[in-house]
Amino acid sequence: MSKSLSETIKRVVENEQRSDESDVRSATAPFQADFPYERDEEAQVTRREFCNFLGVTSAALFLGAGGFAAKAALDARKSESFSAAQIDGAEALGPNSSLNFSYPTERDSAILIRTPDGAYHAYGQKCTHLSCPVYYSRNHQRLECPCHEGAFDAATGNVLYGPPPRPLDTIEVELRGGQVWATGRRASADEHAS
Amino acid sequence: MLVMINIAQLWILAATVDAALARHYSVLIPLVVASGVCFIITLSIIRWWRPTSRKKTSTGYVRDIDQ
Repeated sequence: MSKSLSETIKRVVENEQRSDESDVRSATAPFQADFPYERDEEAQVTRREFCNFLGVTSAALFLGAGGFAAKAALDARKSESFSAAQIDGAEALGPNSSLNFSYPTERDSAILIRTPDGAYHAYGQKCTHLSCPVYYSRNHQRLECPCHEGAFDAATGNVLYGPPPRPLDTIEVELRGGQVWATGRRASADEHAS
Repeated sequence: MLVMINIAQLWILAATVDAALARHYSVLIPLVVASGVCFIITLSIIRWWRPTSRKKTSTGYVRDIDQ
């Protein structure tokens, strides 16, 4: 037992002593033959290379900005058409309460709110800050984001306070024969837009 | 200088993404143009900038050993 321990200590000490460049190179000789490189040259980046890297980065950032703008312009040209969908369980929703649903697809989570005055309002559930799901606070009668303490007006979807940069997406709702239907979804602009 | 231009472009890209998500289409073109101007400035610096210690000769730039 003590012998193996002393051997281990000896091996560790030897390994520590062999940590310099020449020993590493001799230990990796077969790999050096296949993949030769000079460590000093590898570590050095010339000013010209650094400038070229920054130039490539600049080009990538320019193309990224152009790509995003082009995609936004293409999306703006598409006329989205939504089919009306009944919101199940909405008719039983009491005042000052909320109901989660999906619209227009199953992946688009939304929240239906019935304000204390009995009016229905529906919004996309993703916070416009970092897409956390918002919830309806019955005590404060507003939509709140639990991630970064943002809040939205329950009647308009406008930002009340916090980091969200723009209002929630609005879902248009209609009452048809006592049933609540979602008929369209409108992405929000900023608070100052008409 | 190039690093500062890159940082400015990064900021412009962030503004572009935010404007696209917010449907502020009117500011997208100015943002892209600004990013393009930054890119042109970057290219210009890389292409034409030389240290002041270098002199232009008929065979190219050489280091001025008198300085």
